[in-house]
Amino acid sequence: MKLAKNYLSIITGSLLVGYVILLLGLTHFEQKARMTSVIEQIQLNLEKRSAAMSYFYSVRRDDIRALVDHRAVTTFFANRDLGMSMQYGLEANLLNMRQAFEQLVSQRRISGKPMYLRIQFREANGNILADTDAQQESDIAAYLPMDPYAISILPQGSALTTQVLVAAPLHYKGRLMGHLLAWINHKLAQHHLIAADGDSSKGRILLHTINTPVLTTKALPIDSLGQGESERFGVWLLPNGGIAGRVPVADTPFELIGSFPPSGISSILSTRWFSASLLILATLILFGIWYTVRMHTNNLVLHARIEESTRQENTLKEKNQELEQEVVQRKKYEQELLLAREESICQENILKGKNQELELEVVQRKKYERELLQARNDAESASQAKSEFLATMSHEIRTPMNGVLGMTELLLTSGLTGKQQQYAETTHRSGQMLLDVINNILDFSQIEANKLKISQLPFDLQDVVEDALQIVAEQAREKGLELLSDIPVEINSNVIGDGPRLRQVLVNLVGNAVKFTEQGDIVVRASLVEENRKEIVVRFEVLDSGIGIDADKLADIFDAFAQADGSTTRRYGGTGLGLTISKRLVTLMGGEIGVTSKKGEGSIFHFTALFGKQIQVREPVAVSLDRITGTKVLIVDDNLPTRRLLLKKIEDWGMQATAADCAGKALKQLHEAASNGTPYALAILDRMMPGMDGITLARKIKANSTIADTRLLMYSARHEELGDTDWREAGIGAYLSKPARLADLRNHLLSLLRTNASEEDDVQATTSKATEFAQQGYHILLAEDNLVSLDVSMAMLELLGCQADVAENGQAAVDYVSVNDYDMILMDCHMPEMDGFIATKAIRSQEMKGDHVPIIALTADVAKGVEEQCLAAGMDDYLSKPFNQDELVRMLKKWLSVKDDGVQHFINA
Amino acid sequence: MKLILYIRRTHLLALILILFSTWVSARDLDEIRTSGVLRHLGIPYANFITGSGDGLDVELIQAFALHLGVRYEYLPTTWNSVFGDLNGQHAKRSSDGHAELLETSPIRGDLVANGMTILDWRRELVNFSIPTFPSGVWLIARADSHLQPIRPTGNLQKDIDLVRGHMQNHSVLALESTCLDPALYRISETGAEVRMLGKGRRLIEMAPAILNGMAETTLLDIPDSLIAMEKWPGEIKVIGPVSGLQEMGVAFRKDSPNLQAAFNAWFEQIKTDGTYTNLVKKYFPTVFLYFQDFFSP
Repeated sequence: MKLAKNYLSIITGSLLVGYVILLLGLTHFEQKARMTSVIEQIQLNLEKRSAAMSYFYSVRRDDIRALVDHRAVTTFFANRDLGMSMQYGLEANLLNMRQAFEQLVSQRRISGKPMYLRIQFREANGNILADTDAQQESDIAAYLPMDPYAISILPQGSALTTQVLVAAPLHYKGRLMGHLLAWINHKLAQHHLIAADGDSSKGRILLHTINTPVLTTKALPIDSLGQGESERFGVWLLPNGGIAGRVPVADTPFELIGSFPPSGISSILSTRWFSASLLILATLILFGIWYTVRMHTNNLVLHARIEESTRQENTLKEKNQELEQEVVQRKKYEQELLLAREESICQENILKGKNQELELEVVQRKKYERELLQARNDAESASQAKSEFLATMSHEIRTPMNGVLGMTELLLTSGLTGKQQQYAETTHRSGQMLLDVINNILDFSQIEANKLKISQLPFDLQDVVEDALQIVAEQAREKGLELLSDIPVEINSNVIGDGPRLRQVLVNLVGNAVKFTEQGDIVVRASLVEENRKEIVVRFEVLDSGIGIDADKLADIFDAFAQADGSTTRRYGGTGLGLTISKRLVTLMGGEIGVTSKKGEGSIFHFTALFGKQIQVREPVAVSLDRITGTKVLIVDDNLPTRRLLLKKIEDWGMQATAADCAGKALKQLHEAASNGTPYALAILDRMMPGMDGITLARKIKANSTIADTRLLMYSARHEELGDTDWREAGIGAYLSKPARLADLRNHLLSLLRTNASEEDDVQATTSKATEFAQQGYHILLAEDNLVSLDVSMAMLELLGCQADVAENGQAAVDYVSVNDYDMILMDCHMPEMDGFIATKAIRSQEMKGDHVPIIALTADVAKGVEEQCLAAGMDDYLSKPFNQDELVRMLKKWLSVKDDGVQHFINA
Repeated sequence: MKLILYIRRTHLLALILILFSTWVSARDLDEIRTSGVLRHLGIPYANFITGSGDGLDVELIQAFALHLGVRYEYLPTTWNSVFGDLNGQHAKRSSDGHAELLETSPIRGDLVANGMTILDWRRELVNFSIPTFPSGVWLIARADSHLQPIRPTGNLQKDIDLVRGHMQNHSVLALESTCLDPALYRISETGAEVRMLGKGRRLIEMAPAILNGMAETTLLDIPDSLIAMEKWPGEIKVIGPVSGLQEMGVAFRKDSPNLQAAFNAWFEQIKTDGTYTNLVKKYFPTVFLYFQDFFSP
């Protein structure tokens, strides 16, 4: 309670002191602000008066200037200059001058008193011409010398100046005639403009002539003002508490000095006593608090000491009791401890035994761990060795396989006897199957090892689908099957993904379809599932009219080594790995694979894949379709899907297409159109049709003069064979094998629709593979170190009629390129001295801007990343060994036609 | 015969009309007071009649009309018709220095006041009041003239002789039948080439005429000279005097003696009380420099 009281005193006192300090602070700042305000007021006051005085003298200058220019004055000097005498004329002029002076004196007044005390004209020789106060002598000596060119304000003395002379020179014809002098009633001006509202108690303002001495008095302590020229003007706080200021009077020789005594300012700043009182009060309060607190503290200390001594006494008593109890307790513990020690010795012996057992177990475990680690390392090494072995085997098997397959293929074209042809075909087929098996095993092993990766490179979807169809086209042709692809135009074909792997899946599925279909057609259809700004999801379907699959087998069909049944393998061959690999690849492409099928009704294998969209796409040079827009085209094909697809594509190109499913209907439609005056410009004829075949239909068309002008294109599942001249003799302009690339179909249409007959001949001439390249005279560089591969490639190129140079390594290729122009370079990737990648980079670096020779990589290495490596090195495409002649032809057509057509297929990533 | 008779009749009628009109207009103080109007004939000249409705003589006669208690009416005239308008018969100075009477004319006014110099031949035609203004004639030249102003000798006659001695072969502009008539000052005797300003021209045109190159010099009376010096400073110069002191006065018909007497009496009064001096100061402030004695009461 007492302590609380003490605190209350301290708090109350502190609050009071704080309040007093606050008041002191506020007073201090207020005083400071007031002082600043007073100084500003004084400064403003001085400046205001200074401006008034400056203005006064500026008006006087104007007066005198006007008087100098007065007509009376100038007339006198003009007439005198003419030699006129005072008696005859000048006297009158002089009178006018004097009257002008008097007029000014009488006009200018302040409070009725004249501003001008006197005006006179004093000639340069001292003679006074006119004077408003001729009676009085003028003490002019005090003002001399006068400025001969400018109006000058001349004060008579310093602070006591009562008169100021304004002197204006007068020049006539460049000669100084004298000065017009005006005495200003300076005292009057000072009284009205400076001391008009003067209150001596509030200060004194003096108009002082600069650079003249002035008396320093207590009231006017000039000495304490700024002395230097730079600090001459301003406002100062004087040591006695007063304020003094000094401001110039513009355009005059004067300055204003103001002095404001402390008594005048104290009325404004009379808070000092208040501050002092507050300080004393604060001190008294503090002392009171200190004294009260001290007394209280003494009391408290005494109380505390008494309480402490009482408490200590009680504590001592308690401690004594506790100690006595503790002594009893300790004795009890000592007895218990003796018993426990004996027991612990027994347990210690048991623990030692257990520890020895555990240590043995740990040693054993460590041994197992080492063995496990060794086993894992062995397994990894084995896996690595297996991968390396597979890669090596792949390369090593592919290279001789390239020889086997290539040579067999060449052998097949070398005019064998029937038996020989059969043996060679079997050899080639067996080799191809062996290659497929190797490829599948390789892919499967990579899938097993989780090493199969998907690349992300730009490619053309349309090209990949057409590539896939081209690959299996020969098999389909052999079985008389139609292969069709349908990719809607709304699907953006320029995508990013793994093109070769997509092609592999498609080849797999289409290959299966061909394998399990005996008749009818196989259609590859794509549709857009989803599209956003960056990605696209495409669904692919492979529809066949084959044997179909039992419902109970569908679930296992994508498992490894599974086919619908064991007999299938025996009948159709294959490893049974294709669908498993496809499933894995589709999953890696972000999609799903599935199948719908019914035994005996064919199957639909479908899968989706996610692709990126190309941001920068080098647009193909647009082929002008204007020429064929609106052209009437008749499609004659017994196969409905083919008709539909052709109709759709041809209409997409802006032509008017109609279809007929047989030759008879076709003839009828052609005749009807011709009789209506809208004949068909072109007809696309299937070769093999029931009833009347395409050749016969063509002959009938050409034989009838009303429809003979219709140009004809044979579009057949059958290959054009050497020596097959029936179609040409039947009047057909061009021959195209199914499945044709859309670009080829369009180019053939465009060519046929040219009116020039010689051009038509050209089209016909291009239909032979062998003559096609030979006529173009393509010059190709083949860089290859493997002799077998070299022989195969060279033989193929020669067979195609291409001229080829051989470089045995990369360096030789670079050297060849530096001296020859090539239409294409086939570059083996792995060569001694300089490999294909380095050589390609060297060739690209030598190329001039705008030049670009297509470089196609040849490699038996199918390991992941080789294709990216090829493209990164500057190669344009990739041909995997072993390749057959068709694949080589496709590649040549793709890149050489690019060059000739100016259509750029290469996508610049 | 009939024609002669007709002419005689016409002449007679005209004579009767003139006489009648003369009788009607020729009037003295009483008639003026009766009619209630004082008709002031004047020719614009110097600051006597400025042509702008004011002037020393305009204010003088207005004050006189006020004094008489009649309305003031100003009637402009010319140097050629001024005597006809006052007397009913035109007149001019003859070659022998006398007045020569010309054709009759209707009387239009009661007095002439426009700084008319009191000359002997004019005295033959009219009665002048007591002199109202001093004058004299100076020779004024263009600033570019070779003639130089004379140095005053202190003797007026000597100064006149000096001027006349310099005038030979210099062209001098004059105005016939006015105070600037060359015959009055025997200018032809100086060997100067006298050029006359055309008839009907006014005295105020003399100075502008020489500035326009009509002659090298001109005769100009002192009041007009002082005005010209102020108007064209540096363009004209005063060579010196060509006449002695002259005086100007108000002209009355000889048959208006009462009007003349009334004017003289009133004029003496205003001259004495300083009214006239103040009036002169207003229009000719510098004249006191030259003729201080004239204006002393």
